[in-house]
Amino acid sequence: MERDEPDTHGENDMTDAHDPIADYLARLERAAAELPDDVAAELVTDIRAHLDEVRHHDPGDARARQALDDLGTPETVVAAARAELVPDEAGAPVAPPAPPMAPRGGIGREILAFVLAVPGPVVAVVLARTVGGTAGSAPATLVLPPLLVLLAGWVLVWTSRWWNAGDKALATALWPFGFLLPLALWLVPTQTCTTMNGQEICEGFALAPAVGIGLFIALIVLVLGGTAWLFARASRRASDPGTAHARTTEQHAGSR
Amino acid sequence: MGPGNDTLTQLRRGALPHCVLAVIGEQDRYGFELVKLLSERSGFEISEGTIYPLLSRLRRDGLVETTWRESESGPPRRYYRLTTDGARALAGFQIAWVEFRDAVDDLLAITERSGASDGT
Repeated sequence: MERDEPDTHGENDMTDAHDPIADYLARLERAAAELPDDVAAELVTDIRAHLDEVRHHDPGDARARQALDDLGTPETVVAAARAELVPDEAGAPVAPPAPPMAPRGGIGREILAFVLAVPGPVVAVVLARTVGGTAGSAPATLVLPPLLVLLAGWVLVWTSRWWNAGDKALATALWPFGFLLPLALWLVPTQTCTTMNGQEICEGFALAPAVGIGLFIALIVLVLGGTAWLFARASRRASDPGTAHARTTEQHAGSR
Repeated sequence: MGPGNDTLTQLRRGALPHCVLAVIGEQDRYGFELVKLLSERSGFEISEGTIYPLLSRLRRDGLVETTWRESESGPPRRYYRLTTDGARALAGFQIAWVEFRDAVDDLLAITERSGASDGT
């Protein structure tokens, strides 16, 4: 079995500040700190064993300096170790990890998704009625076109590169249901009062006008705010290659 | 100037791992010995220290395996030995290299002849 460390470190345990070998090893350790721990430890152990061998043959400083010269600077050695971490056998010039190839781009898909999901179905109904002539009022023509348009919008939402699953769920809920909410307020059964035998009998549930308007505005603000927030998130990520990369992998998992 | 220097560097880099395998395949070697053997060969022009990262990668790739052994007089030594995969990789390279070398030699010979007849 392999051991990570030999039992002894030979003759180099002396820690003379002017010992060129000790200096070299200290520099090597510092430079190797950027490597994965196991790679760094192995490298330092190997170089130390190499220098132990040099010392063993000739303890003189002149020989030590020559040996260090032959090894190359610690930085050169660490750069070689870094290059070996890349699968590329040729040891290509040290490449920074994965240049941000992630597609930076616009948020056209997200905008189109909104257009299709919110005004889209309404436009589809209107178009179906005008273009469809007599067939335009058949239930199929009234339901199918807006549904298809909405589905197309949702497909765009869920294939967005810039939104994560949570964002996509929010977009799906807001578009179009969020926008229907303020409108749905008008459907709240109004209070109907009749006067019977001089007594006023009221049925249903009434919202004080102030509360109704307040709720309406709050819902509008909430829905528009959520929409703005989604677009802000998308456009921030679209211009940040770092997050773009993460989003891209998620998109591949989600849409393929 | 031309691409000469760069090409040679690439060729050396590509061939070195297999040369290391060849030296280890001959017999088990320890690091210092291996490095000296390789650096004494002219043509490779490498910093000795860069051979250790290469050895480390060959080990991670399963082409060589290592054992530390006490030496009789000196410090402990880390010996490198070819694995079955390493031997297979070396054999494959030996065949490929001979074919490649012959092809290059042939082409260079043609170029040399035509160059001479052009009088350039």
